[in-house]
Amino acid sequence: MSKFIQFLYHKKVFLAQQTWMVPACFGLSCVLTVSGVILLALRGFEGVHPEWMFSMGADIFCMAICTMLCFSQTLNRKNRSEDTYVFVTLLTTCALALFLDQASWLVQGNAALRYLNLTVNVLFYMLGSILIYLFWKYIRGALKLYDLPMQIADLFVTAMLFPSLLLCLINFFYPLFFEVSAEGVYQRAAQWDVSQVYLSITLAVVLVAITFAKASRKERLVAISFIAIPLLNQLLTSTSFGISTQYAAMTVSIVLIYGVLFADREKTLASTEMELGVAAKIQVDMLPRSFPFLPERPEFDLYASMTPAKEVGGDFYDFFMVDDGHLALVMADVSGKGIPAALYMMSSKILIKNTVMTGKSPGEVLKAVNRELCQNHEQEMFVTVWLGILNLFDGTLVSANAGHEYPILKTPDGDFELIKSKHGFVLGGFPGLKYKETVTQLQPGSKLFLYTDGVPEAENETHEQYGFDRFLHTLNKNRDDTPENLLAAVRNNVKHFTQDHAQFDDLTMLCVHYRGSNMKELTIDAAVENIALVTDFVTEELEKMNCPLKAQTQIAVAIDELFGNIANYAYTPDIGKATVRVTFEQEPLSVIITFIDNGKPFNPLEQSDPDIHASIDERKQGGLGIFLVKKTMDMVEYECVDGQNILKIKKNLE
Amino acid sequence: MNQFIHVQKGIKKIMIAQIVAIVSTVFSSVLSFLLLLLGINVSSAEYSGPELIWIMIYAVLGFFSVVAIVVTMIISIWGFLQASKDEPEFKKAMICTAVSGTVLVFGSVFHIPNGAIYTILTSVASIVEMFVAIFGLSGMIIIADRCERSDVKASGNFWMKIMVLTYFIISINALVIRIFELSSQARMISAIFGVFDLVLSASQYIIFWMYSRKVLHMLKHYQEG
Repeated sequence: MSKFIQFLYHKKVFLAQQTWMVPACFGLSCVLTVSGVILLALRGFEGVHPEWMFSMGADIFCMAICTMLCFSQTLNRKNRSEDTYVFVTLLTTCALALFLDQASWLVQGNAALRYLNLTVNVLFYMLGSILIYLFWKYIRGALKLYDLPMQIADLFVTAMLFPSLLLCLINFFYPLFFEVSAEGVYQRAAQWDVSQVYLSITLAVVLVAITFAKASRKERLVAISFIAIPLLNQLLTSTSFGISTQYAAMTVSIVLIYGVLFADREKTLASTEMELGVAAKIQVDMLPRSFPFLPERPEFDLYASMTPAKEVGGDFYDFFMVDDGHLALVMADVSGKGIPAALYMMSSKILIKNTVMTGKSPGEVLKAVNRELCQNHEQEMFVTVWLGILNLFDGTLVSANAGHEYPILKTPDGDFELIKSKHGFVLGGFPGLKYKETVTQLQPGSKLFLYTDGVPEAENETHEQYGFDRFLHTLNKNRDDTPENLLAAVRNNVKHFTQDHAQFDDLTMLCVHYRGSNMKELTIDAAVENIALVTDFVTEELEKMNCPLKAQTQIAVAIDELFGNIANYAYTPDIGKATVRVTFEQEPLSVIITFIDNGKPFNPLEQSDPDIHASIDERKQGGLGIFLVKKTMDMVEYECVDGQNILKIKKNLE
Repeated sequence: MNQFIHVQKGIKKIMIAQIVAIVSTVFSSVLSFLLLLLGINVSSAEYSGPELIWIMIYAVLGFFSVVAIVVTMIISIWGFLQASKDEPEFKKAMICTAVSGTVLVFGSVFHIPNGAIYTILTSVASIVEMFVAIFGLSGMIIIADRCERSDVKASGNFWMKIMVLTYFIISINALVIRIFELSSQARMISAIFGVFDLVLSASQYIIFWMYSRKVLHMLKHYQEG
């Protein structure tokens, strides 16, 4: 049974998504209106009572109104929802009922058309039930009556429709509600009141629903008008045979509903659309989109993308260099949608980046950001974050997770797998939380894949989720692709899976391919006695590259001079740390040695070269060491960045 | 703990009202059934001899029936009003009770002069009565949820669906009775459906009464801690 109900539900969803329905309804309404006019013209006015003319005139006029309303919905393609389809079906059914009412007067009193009269009236009665049912459906959707009592009421109303229609059909064989005499004259039967039972009970359900709906007074009054206007019409015209303006009165109600409820909704939709547009722009503009990112850095390749859903969510990613050797990666998902989520996303992103740049570790960053978000945001929103800082030199990845999806990692010779590291709570939930850090060693050739829940939770028409099995299968199928191609493969696979089902959440992904670094680094106390250690460290690397002895000697002299200067002058009288990095470049093979210290800012290159042609007595003291370095090295560069002295020397080894 | 004291008092009053309603329903249904069997058409303008006596008995008992409806309505409204102090859902049931009772009394007035209006109004009253049951049960289900009694809540959901099913069958029944009652040949069929209707109506009150008792027991245990 549940499979049958599911089948009906999906059929309903399927029908509701058929864009041909609205123009088809418009076409049908057109045909009915034109046919009504033609039939009246063909029949002529002979034997037509003035009251019947009045009824038929009202019917044709109201059919034209229904046609025009259908036409306006045909043009309004952008803002169609399920309610639109119900509304258009309501209009078309009303137009059909009006046509049948007109037809019943056209054939009235014509013995030859007795069976046509019978058929038209049976259909007329059936349409009355269908119309009130459609109105209930429309009001239920418009006033969002989805709680349990209304669901049950909906089942009741739907179930009662079938016996009601069946009783109408019985009139073909037995005069239950009405009869058509041999002379072709229609008249009501003794049990005519039974035909009004379904109408009455559905109207009662509608009245109860409207009374208790969480809707504005205006919406409720308009909804009640659908009942009140035809009821008033019935009271005024029921004693007079010939004036049947019930459906004309219903058309007036529909126009009122359209004018108030629909127009209100269009205004809200337009304003929402504008809001969504602004939110989408904020979201897209905030995300780094310039690829390739740092192409001059051979240690990694990175790509990221965010495919927004129709209703903008708060997904974001970020990546930036913390310093020369560390890459920060962020993947996050803000709760909620629209402008509030976009603004929260913006502030979270900025907070995270600024806190990372202060040098804190990922766990400390999340703790600090959480404190900030809990203090300053009252909207009860939260954000899930995965934050990692990758040491490009040795592949150490330190990460912390605040309620976000598990990252996926591929080792050089293995498959993509979920890494179920420790989860903390989301940011912005409770203040004072701590976040544990996870240390992962990436080997050269590893790939890290980050994403938001929009990927595994993407749904198709049958509400089946994409899931992690499909996700990992797609990644492993394309395991050797570049990050950009990997993301494209996943995106295409998700799209293939979901088909035309609307994407309800953003698809946000980031992939980093860690290639490894040929850079070696040594951090050591800047002391004279460590010059030998530094020289040994550099020489070891040079020997691996078969560096010529002459170049080794020149480099050793340069190290002696430059590290010696740092040891003697940078932190005097204290002792601080200095970092020495060794990197190799190919074509031509060369070595770059970088000296970094946080001591007093000093640019050794500003010193003027000594006059080597002067005699020893005339020559000024100092500067010779630097001069030698400049002469023996192929490049010497100095910069001071954020209080750090960075001196680079380069030597070709070929 | 006196957390749901108003609901307890309210439900007790509603249970009393249900008992009055059961008695009234059984009584008036039995009388209608007898009239059907005897072939006496209440809507007819001409009565003679024994028919007149039965019509007079019907009228008097009909009057008491209306009084019983009014009493049921007042006690139910009082009970729902009291219960709504702890759970607002009962207010909806209270409003529906008032509307249903009013429509029913109004409809009863039209029973003899205009059967069509009577049919329509009693159909409407029946549906609004259905909502009384739905909102009343819904209120008790919410109370069960607040007391963290998922078993009572699940039971309430189940009985709510059964209740609506019975209203559906009663509505179909009412149509059948109305269709057949004017035909002298089909009067027996109409009478049988009338009995079925009586059984269903009584069962509705019993279902509601028994679930109310279950909720009362639950609240008693909840108060005791």
